[in-house]
Amino acid sequence: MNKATPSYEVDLYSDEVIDNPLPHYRAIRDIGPVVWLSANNQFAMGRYADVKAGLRNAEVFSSGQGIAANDVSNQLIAGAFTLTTDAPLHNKLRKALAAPLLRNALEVHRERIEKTAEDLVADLLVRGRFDGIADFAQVLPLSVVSFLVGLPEEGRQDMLKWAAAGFNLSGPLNDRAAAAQPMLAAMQQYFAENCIPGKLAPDGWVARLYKLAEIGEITPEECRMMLTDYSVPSLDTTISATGELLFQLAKNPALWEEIKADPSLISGAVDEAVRLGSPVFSFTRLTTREHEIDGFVIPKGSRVAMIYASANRDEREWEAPDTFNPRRPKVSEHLGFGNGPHMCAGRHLSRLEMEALLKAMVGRVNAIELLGETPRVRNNIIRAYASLPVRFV
Amino acid sequence: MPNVTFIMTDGRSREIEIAETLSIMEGALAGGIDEILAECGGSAMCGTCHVYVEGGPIDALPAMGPDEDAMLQETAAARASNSRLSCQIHMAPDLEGLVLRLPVKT
Repeated sequence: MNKATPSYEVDLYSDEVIDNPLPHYRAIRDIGPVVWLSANNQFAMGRYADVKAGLRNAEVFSSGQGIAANDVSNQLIAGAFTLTTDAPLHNKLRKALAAPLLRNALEVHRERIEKTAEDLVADLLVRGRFDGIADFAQVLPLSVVSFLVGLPEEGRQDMLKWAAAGFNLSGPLNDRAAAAQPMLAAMQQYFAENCIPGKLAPDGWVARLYKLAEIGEITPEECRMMLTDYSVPSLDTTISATGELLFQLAKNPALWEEIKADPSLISGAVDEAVRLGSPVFSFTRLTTREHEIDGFVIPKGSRVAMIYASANRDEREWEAPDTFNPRRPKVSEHLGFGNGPHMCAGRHLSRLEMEALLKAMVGRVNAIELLGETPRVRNNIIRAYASLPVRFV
Repeated sequence: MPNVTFIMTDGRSREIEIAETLSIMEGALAGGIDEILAECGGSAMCGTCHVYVEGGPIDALPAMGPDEDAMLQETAAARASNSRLSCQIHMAPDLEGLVLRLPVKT
C-alpha cells in the first residue's frame, strides 16, 4: 500500500534556511524518509540510512542527468564532468581521475603539505589577529591547485569566485544562480588560456591527463571534463571544513586542550569537522525508475535532494549529533564526503591537508582565541564561515 | 545459503550466511559485520572492503580483475598475497566455508 509523500513547504535554498538550517533538517527527517519540497519542485531525503542507501544505489539514483536542483544547469552539466556521469563511463573516468588522489599516491606530497602547514602556523603565530578563512583555511587548498593540479599561480585567486559560482548554479534558479551565470564563462576562458602545455606544471595532475589522452586512455574531451573535476571541488569544500574545524576549536578550548594532549585525536577531529560542517550540504539525483522507501513511492524521473548535512545530524544514527566528539565511534562514517561510487575523490587529500594543519598547530599553538563575529557564507550548496577573526597564542 | 566465517579484528570469529544474490561485502554488511566500511558501495573504487583470505575453498574464488588489483595497492592495511576486495567476490554455493580475516585498518 503506497502512502502519500508528505510535503515540506520551505525553500531549502533560501536565505532563511541557509542562516538557520538545523531546525529545517530536523523537520524534514521527522516528516518521513522522503518528503516533497513543493517550493523546489523536488523530493528530499534527510535521514542518514536513506541518504546513504540512495547514494550507494546509483542505478536508481542517477548522477548522469545532473546533480543540481534546476533543469537548466542539469542540461548543461549532464555527462560533462566525472561527477555527472553514470557507470560504465563513470568508472572509466573515475579511475583515471582518482589515481593521483588515492591514499598511497598522495604520500609523496605529504612532506611538502606538512611543511607548508608548519610555515603557515609559525607565520600566523607572530601575526596576531588574522582571518581564519582567508589567512588560514584557504592557504593549503589554493597552493594545492598550483602545485598538485598544476595550474599557473596567476588567476588562482579567481578560482575561488568561480568555484562559488559553480556551486551557486547547482541550486535552484534563484538570484544567486543568476548572479553566478556570467562567471562561468570567465572560468572557461581561464582554462582555455592556461591549461596548455608550457603553462601547466609538467608533473601536475592536468599534465598527466593530457598524457593519458595522448596515449588514448581517455579522449581529449574527457580530459577537458576532468579539468573541472580537479579544480572546482578542491577549494570551497576543504576551506569550509577547515573553517568549521578552527571554529569548533576556538569555541571550545577544552577540545583543543584534549587534542594537544593526545594528537591521535586529530584524525577523528577532522572527520567531526566534515560531519558537522557538511561543506556540500546537498546534491540531487534523478530516479531511473520508481522507487519505494518504507511504503513511500518516488516516481521514475524524479529529482531527489540528498541532504548530507541532515544525514550527518540524524539523531537516529548519531548520539548527541550536535556535539563535536573526535572520539565518536565510527567517526569516519559520516556522509560529508558523500558515499557510493561518487564519493568525494579528494577526501584523502582533504584529510591530509587538515591533519597537516592540526599537526603543525599541536606543538606551537597554546590557545585559539575567537575575536569577533563569525558571518556565514550564503551559497546555494556550500555551507561555510565567510570569516573567522581569531588569534593563535 | 552458504556460510562465510569472518575473523574480526579482536580475534573473535563470526559465521554468517550470505545469499547468492549478494557480494561478500554486501552479505557481510547485511549480517552486521560493520568493521567493513565499503565506502564506495561496491564499485572497486575505495579499497575499504579489503579482506585477507585465510582458508576454505580458496580455489573456488573468482579471478581478480584489473580494477581490484589496482585498488588493492591503495588499502589502508598492507596488501598481502591473500588480499581481496570483498565487493568483487560474488557469493556462490562452492564458496561455503570460506574464511576471511578483517584488516585492523580499512
